[in-house]
Amino acid sequence: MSGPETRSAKESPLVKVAWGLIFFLAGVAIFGPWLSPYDPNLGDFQKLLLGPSGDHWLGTDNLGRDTLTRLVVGTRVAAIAGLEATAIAIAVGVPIGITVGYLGGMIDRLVMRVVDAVAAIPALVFAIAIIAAIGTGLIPAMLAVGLAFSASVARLARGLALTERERLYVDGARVVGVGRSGLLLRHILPNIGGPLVVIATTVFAHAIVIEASLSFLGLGVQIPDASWGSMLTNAQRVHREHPFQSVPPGAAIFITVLAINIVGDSLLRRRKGESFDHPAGHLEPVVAAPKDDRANDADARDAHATGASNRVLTVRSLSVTYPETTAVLSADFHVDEGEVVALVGESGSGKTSAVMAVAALLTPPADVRAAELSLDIVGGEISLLDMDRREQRRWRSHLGVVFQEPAASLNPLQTVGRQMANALKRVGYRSRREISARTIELLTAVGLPRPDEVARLRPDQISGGMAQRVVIAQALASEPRLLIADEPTTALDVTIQAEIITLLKQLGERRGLAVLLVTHDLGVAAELADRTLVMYQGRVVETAPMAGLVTAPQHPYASELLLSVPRNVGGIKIEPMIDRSAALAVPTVGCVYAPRCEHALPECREREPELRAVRSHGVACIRAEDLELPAITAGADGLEPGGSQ
Amino acid sequence: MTRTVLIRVVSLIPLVILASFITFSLLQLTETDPAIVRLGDDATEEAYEAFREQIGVNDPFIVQYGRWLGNAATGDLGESWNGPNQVSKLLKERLSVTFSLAFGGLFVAATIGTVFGIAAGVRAGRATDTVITAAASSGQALPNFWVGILLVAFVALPYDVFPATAYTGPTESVKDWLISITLPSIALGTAAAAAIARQTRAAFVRVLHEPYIRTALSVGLSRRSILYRTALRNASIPVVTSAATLFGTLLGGAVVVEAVFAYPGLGSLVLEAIQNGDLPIVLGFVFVAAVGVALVQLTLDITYTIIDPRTRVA
Repeated sequence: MSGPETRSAKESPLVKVAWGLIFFLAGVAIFGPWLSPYDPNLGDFQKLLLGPSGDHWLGTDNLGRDTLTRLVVGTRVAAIAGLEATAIAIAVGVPIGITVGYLGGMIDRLVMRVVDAVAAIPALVFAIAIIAAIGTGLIPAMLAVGLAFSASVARLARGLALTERERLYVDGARVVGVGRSGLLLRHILPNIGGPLVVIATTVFAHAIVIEASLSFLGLGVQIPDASWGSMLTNAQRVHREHPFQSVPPGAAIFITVLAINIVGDSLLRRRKGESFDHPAGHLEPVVAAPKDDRANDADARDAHATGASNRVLTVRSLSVTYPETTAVLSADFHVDEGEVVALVGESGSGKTSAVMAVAALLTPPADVRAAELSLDIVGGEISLLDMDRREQRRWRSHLGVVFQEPAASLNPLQTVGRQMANALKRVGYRSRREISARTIELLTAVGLPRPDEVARLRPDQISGGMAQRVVIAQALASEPRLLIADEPTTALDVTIQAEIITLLKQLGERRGLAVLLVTHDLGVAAELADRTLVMYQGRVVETAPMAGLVTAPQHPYASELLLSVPRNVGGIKIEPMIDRSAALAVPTVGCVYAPRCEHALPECREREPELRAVRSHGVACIRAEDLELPAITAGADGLEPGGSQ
Repeated sequence: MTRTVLIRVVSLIPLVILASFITFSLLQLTETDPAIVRLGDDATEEAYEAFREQIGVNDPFIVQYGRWLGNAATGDLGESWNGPNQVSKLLKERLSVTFSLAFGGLFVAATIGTVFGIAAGVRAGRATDTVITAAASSGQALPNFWVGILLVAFVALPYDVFPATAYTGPTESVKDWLISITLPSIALGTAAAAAIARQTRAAFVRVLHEPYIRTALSVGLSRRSILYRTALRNASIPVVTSAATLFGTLLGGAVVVEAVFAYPGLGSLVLEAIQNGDLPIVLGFVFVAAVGVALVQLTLDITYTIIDPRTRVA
């Protein structure tokens, strides 16, 4: 959260204009009636229905009264109406909502039924009923509007109170012995302010329109008093000959409500904090741009030429940057056929950004650049760089992606079979029979028993583990050469994790798939990976065969990562051992790990180390040769993924 | 599915009853004496008392309400205080006007609103989206009766296509009925269309940020298919959900807009009733409005279970 200054600085000019207009109208409402030279209710019969002129800027009405003066008086009426209705809605709704939300149980259910019933009556109809009971006029009319809207305020307040109650219960604040009412005031009221302001703008805007409607019908402000609504009643009597009469009061309502809505929207956006600056979401992923990297080009071509002929993915100097951070900096890696490469590191190390860039699934404001990003496929090599969005589809058809949240990764409204069919149609399956046969085949391949039944179920009807198998089956639909798995087991139960790992391993072996795996779980990596890349703060700090990394890590961070794995506990999560506080901010010069490194020398803080070969590992540490880093002895009891607890 | 519908029907009944109870209680606040409404100022005290006794206002509140509710269940909403007319009969004569306008408004709002909402949603972040969003934000601030007044002043009166005041019932001539409700429906539907457009667009944007859109992209679904199959159906859920509340607003608005066009709907009946202190008509009016909203709610709930199978009761 940034401070109020920076937030208001980001506000669009439109919102500023709207605020200005609201202050102006408030000024008019307060001082306007005193400044006007005319009496709002006293007409001049010599000057009926005049058009705009120097004396009467907006002309006169059918009784010769000055339209601008009546408009100004109407502004005050609208302000009073809005304030009264909003105040009543809040004064009635908030206490009811907080009380029942906090008490819960029977009272809550009972009162909320009443609130639902009030909400079922249209606000204007409810207002008409109250006016019928207690009489016409501005004050009763707005009492009615306030009561009608207190229902939605009560709902909001109740929701907040419920949330707060849960939280307090967890915090154990009750045990501390603060009285119930004290709790309510101290914890709920400060939190309710924000949402309340947003709903208050809505009530205010509605109240202005409803006041005008009621006054128009003769149920609100009474003749001869001016209100925007009653002015329209007058205007309507003469609108055959003088249509302009209807314009000023209506425009006043329109402009006022518009200004309030604009301000309300901006408050809502600010509260929700989700500005959706890139509203196309996942639909318009970023295009990877080529990076000018001539220095390394020559070696790279050599490496490529001499490299394994069964290379599937080649990534050179991949960088992913966001406006305020660098997620990945100049990462090089490759995956060969049948090989499993794991990217490991703590959260925020850039591993997911790296593989999502490969899958062409990152969204703005990410900026992806690379010297090379290519796939070797049957019939040649294709490069992702500069591919437009249409071509990206072709790129993606050569790789399958498995995501972290299996349940959220499937369309909630379609059956598994339908979603499989969509994926299969894309790769050329046409007939219904072909599609269903292939669906069964794929679902069987991912180890789902009774695949025909699963195909008829929707995502909410299957477990997380089953959903992940379905996602994997979908990813295999296009028979890709490369499978990208982003934390495929993180959201799953420990026992299910082991099953999914076994499945991925089998798929890799049986289908000769290249697998690029992202995990923060070294146990998972140890079980699956042939080679591992250790990432820290967007940099690849060490790359080595998995066995070599476990037994002899060359980079101090890799060693730390290994040692942070508690022995004899499966499914290990690597949590950052040290809190990443201000002191540990990523340095702009030197080794990024230096602030956390116990072996750091002054030179470490001067120049960023490059990845170089040390004892057949790739290591980005200037001290790699002279450090004897602690490791886990091979065959130790640790590093078993999944449920050995 | 049948069970789902039944459960919805059953859950709406107490809501409508409660709404009528609240209105009935509110109307007890009145100081209007039904005997004076019926018999005028100069009848005898005995005559007044006899009338009060006859219509039962001397009974305890709960007895009165019980009687009213019992009758309401059979479609009898009591007798007008002002004259010996059945409230249900009076309301029935006027019902078609107000509900024609409200549904006309809903139709305008739903068609225009979804078309523009989808247009903005599928081009989210581009110029089309910016223009539609700006227009919708402004449109939402337009008071329906003002739009009505402007339509009368600048369309109905100068050009001889749409009537400015004459309502034709659907039983007389469907064509004339449609012509007569066109302008009022536009007046009512404009702001509502803007609201639906904004909601649809917002729902779209929210859906486009869901992980399953990324999955759809990764398995190679086309942009078209993602937008019009996956996203549209998911985005329609919140829009359909809120349409019942919108219908309530439109029903309230219809009462005002019909006054602009001087159509003989529930509005003018109720305004007259308020002037006369004829509360049974007001109560009947609120009841009919609540039932109308509840029925629309029911229809939408059923639509909703078709769109979103998760909400079906097994």
